[in-house]
Amino acid sequence: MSGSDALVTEAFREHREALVRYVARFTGDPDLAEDVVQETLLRLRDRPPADTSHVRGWLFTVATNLARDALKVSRRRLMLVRGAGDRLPHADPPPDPATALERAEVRRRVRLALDRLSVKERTMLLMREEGFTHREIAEAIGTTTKSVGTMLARAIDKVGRALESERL
Amino acid sequence: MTTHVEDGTLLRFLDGECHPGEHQAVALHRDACGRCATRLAQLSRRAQLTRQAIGLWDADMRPALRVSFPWRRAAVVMVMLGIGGAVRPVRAWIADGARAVWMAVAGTTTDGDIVPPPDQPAVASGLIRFEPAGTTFELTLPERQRAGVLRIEIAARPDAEAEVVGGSGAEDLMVLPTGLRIVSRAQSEASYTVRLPLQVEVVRVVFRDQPALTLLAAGSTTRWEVDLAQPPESTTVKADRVR
Repeated sequence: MSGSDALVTEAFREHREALVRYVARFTGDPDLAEDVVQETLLRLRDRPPADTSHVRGWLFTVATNLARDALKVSRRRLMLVRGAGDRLPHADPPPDPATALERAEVRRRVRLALDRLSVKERTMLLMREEGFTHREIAEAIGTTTKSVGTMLARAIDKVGRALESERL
Repeated sequence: MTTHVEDGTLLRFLDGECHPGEHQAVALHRDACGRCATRLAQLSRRAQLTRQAIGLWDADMRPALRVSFPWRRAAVVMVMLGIGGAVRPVRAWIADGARAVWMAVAGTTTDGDIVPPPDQPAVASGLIRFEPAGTTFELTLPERQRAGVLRIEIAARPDAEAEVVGGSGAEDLMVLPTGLRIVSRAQSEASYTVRLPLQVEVVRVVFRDQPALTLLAAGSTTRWEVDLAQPPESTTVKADRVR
């Protein structure tokens, strides 16, 4: 196995799950997330970063850009939680109607709250959820660590304000 | 600190990302400033709500991922590799030399080698069984056929097997140290099924004169199908298009 192949294989094993989760959250589309992650790994193979010691940040950055491009191309509206639970089947037994209704309402409110974020805010918030430090996020999106803290706080305020009156 | 602490700094404080001096300064200010203490508590509460919101979305997403595309979730990633120049095999050479290949690798296998059962002929038509010893498996198809489908399945099974379906008798399956070579002719319309155990994590499919496809599995049942009359040529082919 060549160096590039090994890099892709290792990236696949180590980061695929987190990448798919991140992109699915970012786009609201699990199918698109799978495609984006595949494309990201293709990029890693074809054009790996010069410094392969920070592959994780590189992967998330590329995945973010690809996700944005894919959304533009497909003209799918950028969203975080759009109806994923509604349009896709559940493996578990369906909840009773009252519970289903309550969950649907909560999902709707969550979706509305998260849709208020800008692309950059969404990117930073989701990277934070994946355990990236402020410095890593700053490097990934090309800004300062201080700005990341400020923008993250703003994003958290947006979502938090919308959800404070809700019982999740 | 004589002024209030900025939100960004408060969040770094919450996230444990302040350097020691800054952390101590923020903590001291918080204890002395009701406004910043309140703001810190508010930010912490909202951060928790945000995390819960994302968690809620995940809870809905998980079963969807599991049901809507299990084979994809099982890790279908196709990467075109720059492995070109698959050498066109000479049928006679294969027939004559295959057993020598076994002899050469017997007892000296390394990771990625394929170890056949002792009584398994290295070249065969129909159904053959073998034991992949490593996690990488290479499938070589030197000839583009007129028709036919290559099916690759990774599932919970004790060993590997490969099968020719609908062949004319001119097709051969050759187990090699690195994987399997499917020898056929351009006019063939045979299909092939290759079933591999879960231990195989990487499958490379090398077509004649083309870069290889690399299929990466993630430890659960995975299936791929490739049209042998029109194998993927692009270097950016995605899994769901390789059918």
